[in-house]
Order: sequence, then C-alpha cells, then structure tokens
Amino acid sequence: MGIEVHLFMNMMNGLVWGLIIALIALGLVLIFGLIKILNISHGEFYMLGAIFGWYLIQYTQNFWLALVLSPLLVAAIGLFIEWGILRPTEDKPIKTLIVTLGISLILQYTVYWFYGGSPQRIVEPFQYHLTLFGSGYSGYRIFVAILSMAVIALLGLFLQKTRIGLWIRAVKQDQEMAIAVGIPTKKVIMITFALGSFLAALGGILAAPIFSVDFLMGLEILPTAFMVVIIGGPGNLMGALGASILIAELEGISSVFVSPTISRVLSLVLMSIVLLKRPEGIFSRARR
Amino acid sequence: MDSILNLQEIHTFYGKSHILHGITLAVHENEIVCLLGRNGVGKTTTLKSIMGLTPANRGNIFFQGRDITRIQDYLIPRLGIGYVPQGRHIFPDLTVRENLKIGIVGNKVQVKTYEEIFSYFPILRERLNQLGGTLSGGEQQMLALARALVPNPTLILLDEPTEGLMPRMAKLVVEIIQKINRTGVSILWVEQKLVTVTEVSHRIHLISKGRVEYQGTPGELIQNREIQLRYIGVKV
Amino acid sequence: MEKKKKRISRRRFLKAMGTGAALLSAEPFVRPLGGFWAQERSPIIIGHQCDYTGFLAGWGYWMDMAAKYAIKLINDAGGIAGRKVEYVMEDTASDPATGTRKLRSLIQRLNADFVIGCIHAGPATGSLPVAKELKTVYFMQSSSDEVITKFGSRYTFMGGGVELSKINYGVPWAVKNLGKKFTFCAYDMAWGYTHVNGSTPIIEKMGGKVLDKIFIPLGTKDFYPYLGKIPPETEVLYGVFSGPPALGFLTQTYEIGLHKKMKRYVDVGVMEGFNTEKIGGVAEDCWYMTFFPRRLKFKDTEHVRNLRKALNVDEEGVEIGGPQVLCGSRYWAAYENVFWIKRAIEKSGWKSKKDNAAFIEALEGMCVKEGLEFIQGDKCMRAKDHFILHDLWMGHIENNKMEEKTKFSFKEEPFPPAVDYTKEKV
Ligand SMILES: Nc1ncnc2c1ncn2[C@@H]1O[C@H](COP(=O)(O)OP(=O)(O)OP(=O)(O)O)[C@@H](O)[C@H]1O
Ligand SMILES: [Mg+2]
Repeated sequence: MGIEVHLFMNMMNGLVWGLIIALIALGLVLIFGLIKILNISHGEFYMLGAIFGWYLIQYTQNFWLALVLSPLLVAAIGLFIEWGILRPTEDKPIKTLIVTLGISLILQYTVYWFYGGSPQRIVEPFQYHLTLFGSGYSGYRIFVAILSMAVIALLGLFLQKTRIGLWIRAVKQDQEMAIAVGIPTKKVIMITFALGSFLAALGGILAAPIFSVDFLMGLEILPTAFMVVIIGGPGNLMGALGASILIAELEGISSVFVSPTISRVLSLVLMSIVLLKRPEGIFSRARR
Repeated sequence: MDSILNLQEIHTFYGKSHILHGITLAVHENEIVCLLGRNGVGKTTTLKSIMGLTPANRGNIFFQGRDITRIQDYLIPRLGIGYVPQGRHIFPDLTVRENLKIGIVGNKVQVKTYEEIFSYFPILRERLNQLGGTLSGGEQQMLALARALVPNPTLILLDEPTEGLMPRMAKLVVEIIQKINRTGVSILWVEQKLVTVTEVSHRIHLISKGRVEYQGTPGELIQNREIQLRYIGVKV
Repeated sequence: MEKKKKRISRRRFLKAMGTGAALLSAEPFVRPLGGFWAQERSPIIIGHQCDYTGFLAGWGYWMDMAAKYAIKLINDAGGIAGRKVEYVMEDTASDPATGTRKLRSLIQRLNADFVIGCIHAGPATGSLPVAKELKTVYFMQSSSDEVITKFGSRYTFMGGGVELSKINYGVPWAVKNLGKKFTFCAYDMAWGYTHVNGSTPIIEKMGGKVLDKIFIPLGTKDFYPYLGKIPPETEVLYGVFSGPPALGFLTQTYEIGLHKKMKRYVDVGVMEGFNTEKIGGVAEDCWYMTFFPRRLKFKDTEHVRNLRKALNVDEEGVEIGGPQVLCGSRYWAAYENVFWIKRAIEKSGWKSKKDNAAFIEALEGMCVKEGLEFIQGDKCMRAKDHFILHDLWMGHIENNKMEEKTKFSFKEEPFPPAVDYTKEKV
C-alpha cells in the first residue's frame, strides 16, 4: 500500500474513531458542565450500550432495534443513577469521585456476573466493503461516521433550538440564577445525565461491531475520553468534538510515519502542553 | 392596603452560621419598599430566602396570601416574582434574546412583548443577538431588569440595582424602576445608600445583623439622624 | 452464587480485621503451643495469586476452580503425607502492583507454604523477587518465559506452559506449511517481544523472511492505522494479542480482507476466552498454537472429563447455564501445579518451609507421566531453567470451530536453557 493510500485510510479512520469518542466525550462534557463532577462511571454507559445491544441482538436478531433500544435503556439507568445515587452528593466533588467509582465497579461486576469475562462480537448489520485505492474499507465504518455526525448535529440543534436545550445551557452557566428564573434545574440535570448516558451508549453499540464487547470496555475508553475533555476544555462542547477528532487524527496520521507507541505518546504530549499552556482547553476563547 | 409579600420571623442559616435572626417585613400592593443596611447584614440573604435559594429554616413567607416558604425553589418565580440579583447574573453565553426568553416558563404567565420591553430599554433592541457577557455593565443591568420583567411579575426583588454604575446610568435605572412601579408592579429594593432611594421609596426598613431594627417613611428616616448613624453610617 | 458470596465476605472480613485476623488464624498459636505434634497435623496451605477480577477475570475464574478441584481430590484421598491441604486465594485485580502486594499477603498474612501464581505477566514480574525474599516456592503460571529467566530464582518454577515452546514447535511448522514471508503484529510488551525475538531467527534460519515487525501499544482498540502498514506481499501475518483487543484484531483484519491475501497465524491468546462460533466468522482459517485444546474431543480422557465436569463446562468448553468460556489452553495448569507440589513433598519429605531446599531439589528435573494428576500429558520440570516442558497443539479455525490438527509431543531439549538456577543456594 502506497503511503498516500495509507495516509488517506488513516485519516478516514481517525474521523470514524474520533466521532465515536466524541459521542462519549460529549456526554461527559455535558454532565461536567452542569454539575462539575468527574463522572468516573461514564465509561460504563458506553459499555452498557454495547452489552444491552448484544443481548437485544441475541433475542431479536435485529441490530437496528438494538441500536435504538439499548441507548434508551441506558438513558433510563443514567436517569435513575443521577436521581437516586448522585444527587445527594452532587455538591461534594470528592464524594462524587468515590461514588462514581463505586457505581463503575458495581456496573462492571454486575455485567461480569451475567455476561461473563469473555469478549463477544456484534456482527455488523450489513457487510458492505468498499474498495478504496485497492484496499478494503468497511462500509459499516462509514455508516458509523455518518450516523455519529448526524447525532452530533442533532445534539447541537437540540441545545440551540429547543427550550430544554436553552435550559441546559442556562443551568450550565449559572445554576442559581436558572432557578430564580423558574427553570426546574434538578430535572434539567437529570435529563442531561440521561442524555449523556444515551450518547455514550450509542457510541458503545456503534463501536461494538468494530471492536468487541466486554465488561471492561468502559474502563479502557475512559482515559481517552478524559484526555479529550482536558484538551477540548472542561465543559466546552465544541472543544470536545474538535479534540476527539484531533486526537484520533493525530494518532492515525502520525502512525503512518512513526511507531504506534510513539504516536500514542504524541497525544499525551499534546495533552501536557495543553494543560500547561491553555488549561482552559486548546479551543478556549480569549474572553474567559 | 393589601400586603402582597409578607415575611414573618424568618431565620436562615448558611450551614451552621445563623444569618437571618427573625426578619419580619411586608410589601403592599404598588409599593416600593426599601431594605437598607451595611455590608454583610443579610440583605441579599433575605431576598434569596424569598426566592427559595437559601430556604428559611424557620418563619413563614406569604406571597399574595399564599404560604410559599416550603414550595419548590423553581416554582417561586413562576408565581409572579421577578428577581434582579446583586451583580446582575446575566447568562453570559446566551444571547440577549435568549436571556429575555428564558424567564418564560409555565403556560400560565401572560408575557410581555418585546415591544413593551423595548419601551423601557430601547438599547436592548440593538443588542438582541449579542451575547449577554459582551454587554457593558449598564446594559447588563438593563437586561437583568428586563429579564425579570418579561414574565409579567407582580413583584420584583431588586438587589442593589445601581451598584457600580456611573451616576447618569444609575439615575436612568432608578427612573425605569419607578416607571415599572407605576404600571402596578410592587418592588422590594435592597440598597446600601440611603440617598439612592429617599426620593423613590414609600417605606424603608433598616436591617442590622439579620434583624429589621427600624421602619418608617423616607421623610421620617431623614429626620432621625441617630438611627441613621447607628444603622447605615454617617454618610447620608 | 452462594459460594462466591461466602468467600468474598470472608475475605472482606479478614481484610477488615487486618493484622488482627492474622493473629486469630490458628497457625501462629498452634505451632508454638502444640510443638512438634501440631506441626505434623497442621494443614499445608497452598496460596493462589489469582486474576479473579479485572481484564483477566475470564481466566482467573477457571484457574481458581481448577486449583480448588485438585485440592478437593487430594483431601478426599487423605491429603498430602497425611496432612490436609488448605486453599487460600487473593485477587490480583489483573493489576501488577496489586498482584505483587497480594503475594506478600498470601505468604505473610495467610501463611501460604506454596504459591501458585497468576497468568498476568505483570504481577508475575514483581512477584518473582518477592517469592525469593520470602523464601517461598512460587509456581509461575504466566507463560512469559523471559520473565522467569530475568527475574526468577531457585524458588520460582514455570508451571503453566512456556511461550518459547510454542515458538520452537509452531514456527517451523508455519514456515513449512503456511509461507515464508512473515509480518508480526504484536503487543508492545514483553509477551509480544518474546514471540518476535524468538521466532525471527527460526524463520530466517529456515530461509524465510521477516518483512515487518509492528508493535501496537497496549489498550489499542482500533487496529486500522497499523494494519495499513502490513506489506502486501506478506504470506503469514503473525498476531500476538489477548483478550478483547484480540477479537478486534481478528475482526479488523477480516474486515479489510487480509484473511484472503495471507495466512493469519496467531498465538492462542488471540483465540482464548471467546466462543469462536459466535463472532460472525472473523476467525475463519486462522492458525493458532496452543498448550491444550479447549474442545474435549481433542483430548478426551477420563481425567480431563472429570476436571471439566468440576468446572461445569460442556464439550465445547462453554459454561453450562452460564456465560463464561473456558480458557482451554491454560486451565489444566492450575490443577496440575497442585500436584507438582504434592509430588515434590512426597519425594522430599517436606514438613515445613525449613525443608524448601529438599523440595526444590526434588522438583528440579522431575518428570511425570500423564494420569489423574497430570491430565495435559507427560512432562518434565527442566532442572536448570525451571521450565516446564510439555506437549503442544496446532489448531485451525474451520467452520468457526477450533480444530486441533497437529499434536507436538514434547522433546527433552527443544531449546537450550538460558539460565541455570541449580547453582543458586536456597
Ligand atoms: N454562601 C455563604 N456561606 C456562608 N456565609 C455566607 C454565604 N453568603 C453570605 N454569607 C454570610 O452571610 C452574611 C450576610 O450576607 P449577605 O450577602 O446577605 O449580606 P448583604 O447584606 O447582602 O451584604 P452586601 O451589602 O455586601 O451585599 C455575611 O456575613 C456573609 O458573610
Ligand atoms: Mg448583598
């Protein structure tokens, strides 16, 4: 394979992978923006999305149904977790750290108990392979990219154009004032948490046919998601989207020229530079 | 005259520190009532207690005869109470239009049209699509007032609305407040400087260490230099 | 469920009691008070440093059960030299630091006389020096032979299969039968380097060629960026991965059609832990080298059947009524290691750790025959480097099933030892 082809393939891939990470990171950022907690259990929603997807497909043989149902189920769980477990500790950061870590472990080992330690596969809903410059490329990946972009665009529209979107943004900026203008802040937080869980779960089931499904997949994705949040700026949605694609592309493109391990190190270096020079995130505006 | 707002023996705490030690006051219909006191005596806390942001631990708050002490915080503004907080608290990343729209919640409220709003605050017309955080201090104060006014409240709580404004701008704000009051909106106005409100308020309460220590008309208070000295300092 | 709960709560309890618990456990009291008599009767404690949770949980689950079953068999038959055997387990959480700490706990707090180690090479690396420091015989179940040659001592034995054996038996076969132009795709870790460094000279000596060596960082999920580097003229793609990423590797090489252009030859770690029939055919036509077949039909003996029955798996190696898939290449080791201990105690007359020297000498060079105690086959514990020498199998995925095609009976000297521990003083 020529270097241009390899480069092009890796850029395509960076986009697909970056968009999946964006789905996860956007949820994390949304939640962080609202309640300023580092949600360690966020990766588990990604995992649950894939796990529920796997079970639903076992029983219904229908990927598309699972693609819709699984994130909804996970959103319901997210709703419950925020309302029942997190809310009492939301104003105490250290406590939330411990509580979300606990939730994370409970979810992992509950899944382990039912699902086992073996990884499983979800088969792609369609087996279409494109030929790009003489090399195979999975049509499913392109589908994932398009769907993720559509979902992210919808999320943007939702936040900009709907009343709940306006409320979410208001609560993020000034929670006390939001109450004082009559916004049901607690419900908004709950909905946002569910929305974040939904997005992560969607990422999980979309990624499942590409990778595999196992009870620790959430743990593996979390560092990347946090890296994205740091590089993009905590609470900055556009930043998260940009950083997701940036990191994935950085690794993809650099791995054409240097060894994979070095390209992984590069993204860590990028994160360190951002932390030192622009702690508000690489895309932060000068105003703040 | 009917009282629209009635605070009876309000006690409020921040954690363990006891801030309000039994505030009692009333605002009657169409009145501008002023709450005056030095730094840190609990003026803001009184307003926050009414809004349910720092709920009163003891005592009762009545609005239009209804006990609102224990109802959910976000429902209080929906009853028709507007809040203009100290420091304005504009949503900085929302546009002016969104800042105005945000107060429209619930379907019971009869909202004011933008045209009505612009009749008070013409400057906002030009700023509609600008982000709240990019407005000047005076403009932000206008926006904070406008935001409280949009849902058509019967009572507005003002927390030092002229703080940090140039004298000309401060004067303009006071005029607008009076104009709003004349349309039948009652006002509870928290202030540090007596001079700002002597002309406009109907009654004045002096607060010290979480307690209302004096009340009377501006005329009475101006006469009483001893009380002035004791509760708001020498400068009149 | 009941059983598991009980054990966990017991361990929790012990933990909570901290040192108090160590005092309460019978050993320290009985020994000084009961003197020599009690010493004879006190149980022999076998510790298991097990990857019970974390990413190797799907392995630890079986290793724990297999060791327990061996101990049950021994106790039912009267124990070892008249003494009961007690089993204590600590969880590494599949984490190097935790695992090493747990080894200390097994030895110092739970008074383990011998320890069977974990599969994860990380904790094993940290554990080997600890075993030496605490003068406790440790059966390493990680197959990374470099770990034991670098960090081992006279106290440490390889009890769970040796990577170098896979390489020395499997690679020549692959060069002969699959192709001469190799590209490696391996984890950027000790295990990956063992395969790459061990195989390259063999390939080259046989007239083959290594086209590229692609090392992939741990934790990689998306292999696409790396798969693009594989030279198209490659004939054999040699993969070294384990766990969920391994499944990702199979899926993605299949997705871009590499399976049609070259032979995929992998370490069994790639196949381990998942059901090949439920992955949509992405492993089809893969060749793999393994320590032991997962499916019963390739080693159907009475003793293998009994162990598998105790583990509650069907003939395919899938848990009956449960979700787990048997780690077919490994589970026998946890069982057999208990019997290595038994054999060496019986041969040396070991009574307490004071007799460790005799125990070690008895074990060094010991050869055993297949039977109830050694179900995997005949094997030897080579004296010098403490490597276990054993049979291996070459498997092939056909119609989504693991089919073991060739068995390699072990030779006494498949490759020379790199170290000589027999010279070390105990
Ligand atoms: N969040 C808080 N936690 C603890 N104490 C607080 C908090 N907010 C205010 N206080 C304390 O409560 C007291 C009353 O504060 P408040 O803001 O009501 O005063 P104020 O009369 O509005 O003062 P100012 O004129 O400076 O605005 C002060 O002593 C202040 O330190
Ligand atoms: Mg104040």
